[in-house]
Amino acid sequence: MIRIERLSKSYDIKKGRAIIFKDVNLTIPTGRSIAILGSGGSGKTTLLNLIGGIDFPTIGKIKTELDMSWPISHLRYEKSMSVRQNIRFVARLSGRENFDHIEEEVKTLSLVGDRMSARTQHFTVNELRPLDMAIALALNFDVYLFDGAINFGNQSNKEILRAAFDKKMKTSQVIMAVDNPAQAKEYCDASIVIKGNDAIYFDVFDEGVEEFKISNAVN
Amino acid sequence: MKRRSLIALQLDVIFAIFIREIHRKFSDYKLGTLWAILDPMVMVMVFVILFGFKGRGEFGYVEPPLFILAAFLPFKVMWNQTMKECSNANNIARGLKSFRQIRLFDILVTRAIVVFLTALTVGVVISFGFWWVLGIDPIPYRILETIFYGGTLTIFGFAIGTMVCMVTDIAKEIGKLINITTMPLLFISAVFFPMSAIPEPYRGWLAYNPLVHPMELIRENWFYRYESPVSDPVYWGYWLIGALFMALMTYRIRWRKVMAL
Repeated sequence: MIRIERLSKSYDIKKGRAIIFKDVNLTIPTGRSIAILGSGGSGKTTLLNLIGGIDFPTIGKIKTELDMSWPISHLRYEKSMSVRQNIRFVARLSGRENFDHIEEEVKTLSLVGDRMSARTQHFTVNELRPLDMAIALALNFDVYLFDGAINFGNQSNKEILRAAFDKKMKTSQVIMAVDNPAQAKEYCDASIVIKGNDAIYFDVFDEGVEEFKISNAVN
Repeated sequence: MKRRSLIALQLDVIFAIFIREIHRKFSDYKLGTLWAILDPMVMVMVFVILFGFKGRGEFGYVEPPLFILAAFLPFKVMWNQTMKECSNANNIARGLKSFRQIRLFDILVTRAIVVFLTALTVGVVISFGFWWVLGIDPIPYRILETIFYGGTLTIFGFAIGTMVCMVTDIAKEIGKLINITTMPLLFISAVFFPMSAIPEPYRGWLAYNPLVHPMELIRENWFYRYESPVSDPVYWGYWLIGALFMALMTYRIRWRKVMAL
């Protein structure tokens, strides 16, 4: 369960403050996958980052016991470290101890193969993006965060990655921030709609989509 | 996943950042991460060779190379390097932003700990060299006290560095200004000379500089026959607590702002 209590978030901008959220109260139940629906600039990525613990509320608290991933495909690799070292870095931060097992799993889910010891600076962006997902799956999080649509890349192993992800979804949940409900339909069964400075939880995905369409039509 | 205690989590985070940092800094060099130790060691050795072998016997109570080591290792590494490393910790904070376990504070603490442990290692290696090559007995007279005061210097460097780090987003010049002050500080902090060599009234004036005290306390505890005319652990303690308080306060007030940039 993720509890958002009295959340307010504002940024300093050149002319005063930009208020993104004001006094938001939400409870996200465990085991339900959630789409955060909002148009561009509405604060959906901010809400995702707040839930993910990489952005911080101006006022209020976000409480959770769940083990959360980083927003997938936003992992910052240290380019002077090898793939193995980068994996160990996140594994260590996440409190995992069975490094060998994790590395093996990343190998089966990605095309790294025997390039495990090569520095990440020798990889292209197209190789690193899906690697991100492979590492996150190997680390076995409770919640997977996505900023935008879920992207399995266009490498030859993308079906393997998709199958592994689908399997993981039986035990984990996703939270994704999207501006197009169609991108989230496949995986999400509930939604949060951002409306002005508030965010509203809908236990049925389609109800949220309706609300999202109405508030978008008004604008 | 099993839950970690807070202390275990903190240690994991510090270790992870440490590994990432030494790779970021040194992996392009031929000798690689060995430079983490070689860097400060070469610097201290240069000072030892420049000032320690001029045949100045005026100290009486200690061989010149050892005097230089006992002055430059604490001042240049434990204090100055800690301060510098902490004051620009925000530069790498952005790259680590996507990891929820890491806050700016972890980076600051990691850097201070790493500098301190590096300094200890360098001290042991150079001391061993002195004993082996020059036949000098380098072992501090009161070894734990010597290390303790070295530690307080690191904490002071951490405190000042953290304060600088928290205000550099207001004006980048602050960092520059601090760097400019390092050089004069070297001359008034009893680094090149012991305070016993300074006549009154200048001795009293210099003793207002807090950095004089740990330098003198380290000397007192390292050399059996040296007794400082001014060293005052209580005065140093007030400065230390004051600086640490200010650092933690500015951090608490400003860390979100610094990270938001």
